[in-house]
Amino acid sequence: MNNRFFSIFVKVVIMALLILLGLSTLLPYILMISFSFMAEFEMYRLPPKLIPDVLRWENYVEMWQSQPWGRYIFNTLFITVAVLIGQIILIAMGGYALSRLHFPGRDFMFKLFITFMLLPGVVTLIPGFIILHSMNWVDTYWAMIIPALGNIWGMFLMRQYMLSLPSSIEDAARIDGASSWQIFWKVIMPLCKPVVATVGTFTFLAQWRSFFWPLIVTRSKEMRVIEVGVAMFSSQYVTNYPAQMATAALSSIPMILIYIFAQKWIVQGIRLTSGYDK
Amino acid sequence: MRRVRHSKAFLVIAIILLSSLSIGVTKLRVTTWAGAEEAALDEEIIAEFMRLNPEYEVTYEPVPGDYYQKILTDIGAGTPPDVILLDAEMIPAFVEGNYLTDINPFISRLNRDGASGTNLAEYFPVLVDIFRSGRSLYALPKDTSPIGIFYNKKVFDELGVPYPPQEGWTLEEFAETARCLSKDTDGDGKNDVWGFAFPSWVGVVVPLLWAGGGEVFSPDFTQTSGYLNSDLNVKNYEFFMDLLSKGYAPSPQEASSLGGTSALFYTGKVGMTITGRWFNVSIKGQIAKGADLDVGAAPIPYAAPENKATVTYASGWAVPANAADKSGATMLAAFLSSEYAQKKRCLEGGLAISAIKEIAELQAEQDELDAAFIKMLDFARVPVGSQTKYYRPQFEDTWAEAFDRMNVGGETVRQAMDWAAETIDKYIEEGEN
Amino acid sequence: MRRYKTLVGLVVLAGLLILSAFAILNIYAKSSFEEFTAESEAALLKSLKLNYQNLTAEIDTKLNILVDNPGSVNEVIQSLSDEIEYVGLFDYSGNLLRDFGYSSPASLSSSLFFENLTFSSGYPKTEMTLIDGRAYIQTGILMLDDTILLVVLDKFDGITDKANSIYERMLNVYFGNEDDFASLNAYPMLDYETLNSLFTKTMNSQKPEAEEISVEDEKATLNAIAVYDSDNWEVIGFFTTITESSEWSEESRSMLIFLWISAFSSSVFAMLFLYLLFRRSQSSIKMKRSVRFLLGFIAYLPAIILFGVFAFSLFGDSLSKVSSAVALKNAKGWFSDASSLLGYESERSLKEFVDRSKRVLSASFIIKKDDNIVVSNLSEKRIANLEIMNSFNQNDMESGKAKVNDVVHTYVKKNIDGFEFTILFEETSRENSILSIQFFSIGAILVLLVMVVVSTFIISNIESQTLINRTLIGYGFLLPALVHLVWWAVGPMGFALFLAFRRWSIVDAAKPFVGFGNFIELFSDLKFWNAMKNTAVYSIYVPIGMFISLLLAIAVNKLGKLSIVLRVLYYLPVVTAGVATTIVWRWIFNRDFGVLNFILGLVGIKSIAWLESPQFALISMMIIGIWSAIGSQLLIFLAGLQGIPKDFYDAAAVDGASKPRIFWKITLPLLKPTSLFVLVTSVIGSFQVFTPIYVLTQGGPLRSTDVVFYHIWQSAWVDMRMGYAAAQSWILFLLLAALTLVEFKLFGKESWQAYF
Repeated sequence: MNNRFFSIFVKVVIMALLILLGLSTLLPYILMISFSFMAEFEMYRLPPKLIPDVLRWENYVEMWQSQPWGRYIFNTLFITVAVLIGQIILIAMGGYALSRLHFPGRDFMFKLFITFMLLPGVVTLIPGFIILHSMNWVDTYWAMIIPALGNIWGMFLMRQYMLSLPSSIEDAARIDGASSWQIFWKVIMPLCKPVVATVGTFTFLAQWRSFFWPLIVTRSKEMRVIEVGVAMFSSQYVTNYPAQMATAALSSIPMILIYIFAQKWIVQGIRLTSGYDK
Repeated sequence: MRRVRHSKAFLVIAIILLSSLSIGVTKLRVTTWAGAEEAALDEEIIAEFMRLNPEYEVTYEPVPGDYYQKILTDIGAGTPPDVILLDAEMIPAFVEGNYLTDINPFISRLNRDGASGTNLAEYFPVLVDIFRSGRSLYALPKDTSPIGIFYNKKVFDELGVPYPPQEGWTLEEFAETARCLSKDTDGDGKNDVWGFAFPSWVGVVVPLLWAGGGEVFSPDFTQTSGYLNSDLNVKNYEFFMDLLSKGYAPSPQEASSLGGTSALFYTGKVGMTITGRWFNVSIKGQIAKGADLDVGAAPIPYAAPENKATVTYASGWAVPANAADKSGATMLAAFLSSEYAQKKRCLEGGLAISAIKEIAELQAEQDELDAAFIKMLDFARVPVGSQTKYYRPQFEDTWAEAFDRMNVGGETVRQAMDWAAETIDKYIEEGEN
Repeated sequence: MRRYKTLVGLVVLAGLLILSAFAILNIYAKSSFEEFTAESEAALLKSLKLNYQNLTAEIDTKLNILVDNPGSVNEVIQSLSDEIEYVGLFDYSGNLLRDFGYSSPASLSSSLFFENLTFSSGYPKTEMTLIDGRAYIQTGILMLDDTILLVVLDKFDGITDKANSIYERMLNVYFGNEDDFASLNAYPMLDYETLNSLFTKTMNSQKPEAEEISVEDEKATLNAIAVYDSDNWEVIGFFTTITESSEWSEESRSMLIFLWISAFSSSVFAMLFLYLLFRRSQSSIKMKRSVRFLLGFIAYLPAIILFGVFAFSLFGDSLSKVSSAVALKNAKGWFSDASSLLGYESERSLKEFVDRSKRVLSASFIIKKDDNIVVSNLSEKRIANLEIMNSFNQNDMESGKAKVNDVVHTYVKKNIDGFEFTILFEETSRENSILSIQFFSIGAILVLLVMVVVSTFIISNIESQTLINRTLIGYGFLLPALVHLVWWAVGPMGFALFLAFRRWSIVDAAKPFVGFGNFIELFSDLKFWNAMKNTAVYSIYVPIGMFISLLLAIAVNKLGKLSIVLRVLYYLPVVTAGVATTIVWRWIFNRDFGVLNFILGLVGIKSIAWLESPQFALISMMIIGIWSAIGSQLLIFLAGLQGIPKDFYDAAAVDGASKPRIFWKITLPLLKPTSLFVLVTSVIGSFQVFTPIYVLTQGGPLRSTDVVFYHIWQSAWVDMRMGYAAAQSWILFLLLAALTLVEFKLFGKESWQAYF
């Protein structure tokens, strides 16, 4: 009797802890949104106030007027979409070559790519910047799009997924006289929608919040992305927390929405990576 | 389908053609670190410039962060802005690196043609000298901000403390006033209303040391040991640290967790703050938002009347050495310092003390705080950073770290200042190597 | 037949590739060379201008005596008498008071020069002037008694002679400003438009400018520089020289001939050799692979060698010839000014002389007497560290290459009257031109090496067309990703290695080779090792986080449906954390009002100054790290746990194993591959943390949160020392690579291979 009681008790306690912990990971987001509606003095209060008395939309208005956020949003969207499209093309073609085509040196190429996936990118930052600089791409869209087109992890996922497709569909197409490009485009790619969705989701999220590279390659306001704008705003208005929270909310909410709606693909991506879903 | 495609192509071509219609107009770029309000005024000035000189199209580019890195990178890349705003402290490094144009030859011509802002005699001579080197002139002064004490009159009135005297006062008098202003109002054993905000920023520490009778650099600017960490300087800064430990000022950590020293000043929790005239702008902003502030200004305290001193910070409009149209750029730089610009920015906008003598006089008549600051120009020295390239960033960063050592690192004032002098001298030695 | 088509295609491709590579090199080298010679012409003009300024300074000195002794006018006139053309003593309004026996035109006193003298501060002014189509030097001084002495000297020929004999150029002087000018009688006027546009260009840039003209139906270049009045305020004229196109043509021609011969010969050789190789592999039954490769390599070898020879030897030599010739000329001009300076002055104004020379020529100067440094614009330390690389004697001068602070200079040394004069010209633009040609060649050579592989492959497999097709298609699909990899990963890595051995800054044109200098500095750089230490401490959060997430995974695993909701919750920070969420943490960590201290306060722990105290700032960063990483680790562990077949557990239960035992003996070992992956990638990631430090602490307080990545960013983009930062990033990279290898060894290779 006691044993059962005890194990149920333990289970309940564990569940409670987990839920509490889960909510605490949400804490920053809750604070972000709630503070963005407060006035400054409301934040300097003990015990901390979590719900604002009044929704002060002025914070958002003030924030919006201080920098050209519309332009930042456009930049971020434009770059993210461009990278998304470019990356998919790049890694789909590469994944196809590495999985379903046979040619000498294929395995060597694969090992080469994997090696570079694991190596930390810190070494390529400075020379990458100098290369950009010598091509006069600093402060242009090219600088933020082209270097971001490589995604070896994504190519790895594509390869793995393509490997799992039966070879019979390809054989059938070849018998009909289709060229490799046609097979790739008309047969394989339509079947790869799930993995494309997964990689696309991760790429979208990663690109939306990429900070370091845009920070060093952009100079003018016109080229800034949202994350850089948020950082600039924060350094200027150090003590005006509510306005900073408003910018943080602006940046985070699209990501949270995408995250919620793309849950399925994200989980799929994790599974594919950890290799237990062959 | 085809038709639609063709008309789309035409549209694209038309757009391209239209956008290239601005051929024949010279484009100039101006960069500053201006915040929102300043930017608005600057843009009005630029609009006027473009109206008077329609052959130029000027783009205004405010750069809020990492300003100097961005400018230097642009200059190094060969795509510099045409006019750049520079602090006095950056001039030595830029001149030595040959990043700036000597605008003398261009000013002489423009002056002959009567362009505004090119009459060097209308500026305060001390400000023009900041931007000279030998026979060359590298920038035209924009405005200036001396360092002084802002005090909250209401706080003084409530506690019955006399205002700081306009002719200046000694360190002891300052300490006494601070003591009278510091109170524990909620009975928790710690003061929560203080006399002054503690001066830790190098920009106010240097003039305080000067007013204390000390120096920070040797006369030839080759070393700081024996000057920055002289016994007199250590004693004077210990004096301030002592006031801090007595509770006459909030510790920097306290101040930052309570929202910053400015917020404390606006809400009357701190009676005095030592900073530059630019603080006037924030004060006016708070009053416009409805704060009930009545503020006065007075000189910083000195050790003895003959030591009376302060610093006046200035910035100027310069032209990079590889700018494309130097003559146009100089004309724009001159216009940005001209009477029209000074009136807009300083007289109407109240952003700083004008670099043009006449306008400064008008400012003094109009505003009590400005009158106090303009009087300080009589005994204000040029920033030490305008005479040595080791001030920014080496001296500034080293002092900040030295203060951290005193504040949270557990070192004494003497230890920290000795370390600072040693570190700066090492930079100088390596730099000259 | 098909294989012949392929062969022809390959051979033609090889030939064209080599030809076009050389063609591009030719264009590149030609324009580099032309730029360089233009710079050299500009340097000659600057020397002429310096000669002029030294001359006017000399005359200023002669009149200087009158500042304090207005009475010694006669002595002064006496000392100048050889060269006097006109002289007069005037009163303030321009009336002639004395003429000293020379006939002075009255117009002297109505010139702008005279007017400026009336406003002057009492120091002598000296400028060039045009009278009756001839150039003279006029000098004047406003004396204490308000009288003005004005002298016109016939001394300008000295400058023209120098131009002819030392610089071997014809000097042409124009007086006036860029819109309204007159030249000397002796020289014909070129057309107004050309001169006007050239003069406007030079007025605007404040540097020597050049324009193409034709002289007697031959192309030539006209160079001009603006000359200002003695106050450096108004322009009074322009110095011009004409460079015949034949001046540097010999050098340029020999380069061109070399390149064209190389291009044709090596491409023909390659084409022929490839054909021969094809024949050979057709006839002989089995050619060893290595032999085939060797032969393929030999086909391209001449091209590679010739490229290398040009880029690493010939081009540099051509430029060096130009630069030494120009350096010698400029040095001679400066020496002659130096010796006349010694003639009329002693050491006193040597400092002014050096300052003036530096301003005009942008070179470095050292003047020594008896081995002691008298004057120099270089610090003593720099002079002591001066490295002479080679030297040779010519006439009475010693010249050669020297390194000042690692930057290559050309120096010329001469002894005059017991003083030793050295002038050093910075050769940065030459070095940089050579460097860029070398980069291009390395790229071309790499492309040729790839061609070796491609050609060998095609010829060996020319029989099986399908194999070749398949290979082409395969690499075709792979190409975008491959190009991107080389362009943005492999290439930059190689470049980073190159950078680490140089001093490289965007704002400094000189990019000198410093050998291991960066690394040596790095070893004793306490701040860097402090950053490494901080990063190592920071990365401890990874195992802590992994432990927590493993426990969470086990717990969540048992909760069924609820686990899905929890998964979503925990994973959110992983994909949305960025600058935005970091800002919120600033408030959470606030000492007096932050929610963290509030909660701690509820259990009785005193307020901690999270971000302001050196002890806790790094821990704050670690907390943020754990918060943003737990989700992904949790999910991966969860997937791992769910991947363990239930049979294992059932079997263990049947055997009567206890829960902990199951955990240790079954669960953990099976999770090894997963753990490895998580550990490796998390640690690598933790070493590259940047955003929280940039936004919240900027490396402080007291450098306690200065992590390696932030430190590298500072070195590169704040201190602007990209070479030093590249060295740092290589050290970090090697460390991480070593760490990864160790982790593999520790956790076993099989787990790794389970993935791939």
